[in-house]
Amino acid sequence: MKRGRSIVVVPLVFGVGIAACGPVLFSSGSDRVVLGPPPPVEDEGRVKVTDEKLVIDDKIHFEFDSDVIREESYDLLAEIAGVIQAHPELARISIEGHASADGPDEYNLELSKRRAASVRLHLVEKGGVAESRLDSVGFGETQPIADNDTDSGREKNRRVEFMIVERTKPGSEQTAAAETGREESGS
Amino acid sequence: MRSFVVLVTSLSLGCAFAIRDSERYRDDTDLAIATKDDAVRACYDRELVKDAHATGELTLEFRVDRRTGALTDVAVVEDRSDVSPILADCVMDEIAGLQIAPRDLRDGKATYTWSFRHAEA
Repeated sequence: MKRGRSIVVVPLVFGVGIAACGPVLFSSGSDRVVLGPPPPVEDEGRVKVTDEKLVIDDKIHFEFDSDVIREESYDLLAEIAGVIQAHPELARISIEGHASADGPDEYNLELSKRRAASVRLHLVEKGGVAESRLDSVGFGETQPIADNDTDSGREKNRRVEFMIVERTKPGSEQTAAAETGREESGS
Repeated sequence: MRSFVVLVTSLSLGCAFAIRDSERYRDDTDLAIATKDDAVRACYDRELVKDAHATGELTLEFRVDRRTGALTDVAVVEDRSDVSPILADCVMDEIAGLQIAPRDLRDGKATYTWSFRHAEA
């Protein structure tokens, strides 16, 4: 009888004793690291405004032997339009088309003119830039920047540049913006 | 000897429990929490959709209930957390209700920290 009572009491005391103790404190040994993908690279833009020109860190692509702009260049043109809109002090920009020495001079001259005009039209119609701020001109193969004897040189020579031909004075951008607005509403 | 037999008998009758030290408690809780690693990662992925640069730390406190082995009373340690409330809530939802087995004779009181980072580019 006495022995039977101890059988009941011992585990009871044991359990109550343990339960009466405080909680067990613990923590993660080290931080649980959750890795996401690498952070996106900040897009600093492909278009920079310098004193003389818009420097484009990319190239406008056309269909072969054509003034039709390839769709892959639409984003770039939108970016160019955005920069022009963001700089009302750039009162007049000359869009200049250049060709490589492939083909007849006259043909290249005409093609470069048509391509420059095509870019201008795109910036006006799709980019919302006032017509009055943009001119277009073609120089054909007369102003190479690289060797026309190599493929890579000819590729560099086929280009469109954006030269700043008129700038309003600092503080007078309002005039340019107002002028822009008037022309846009009238077109 | 007889008391030991009674204890074993009570265990065999469905009263299984453990008596853990803090290290063992942590190890078992780690195992439970690890089952939610993918879900926590999904929480972070959703955060990154809103903010691609989101990083930070989240420290949660919780209790491991001795009666059920469940992780309960999950709360953010504000002064050690800098992630968005949405990410914090998402992780809390995933962690709450996890269970460790067997249950313990004592509550556990834990502090866990998650570090949300970008992988190297």
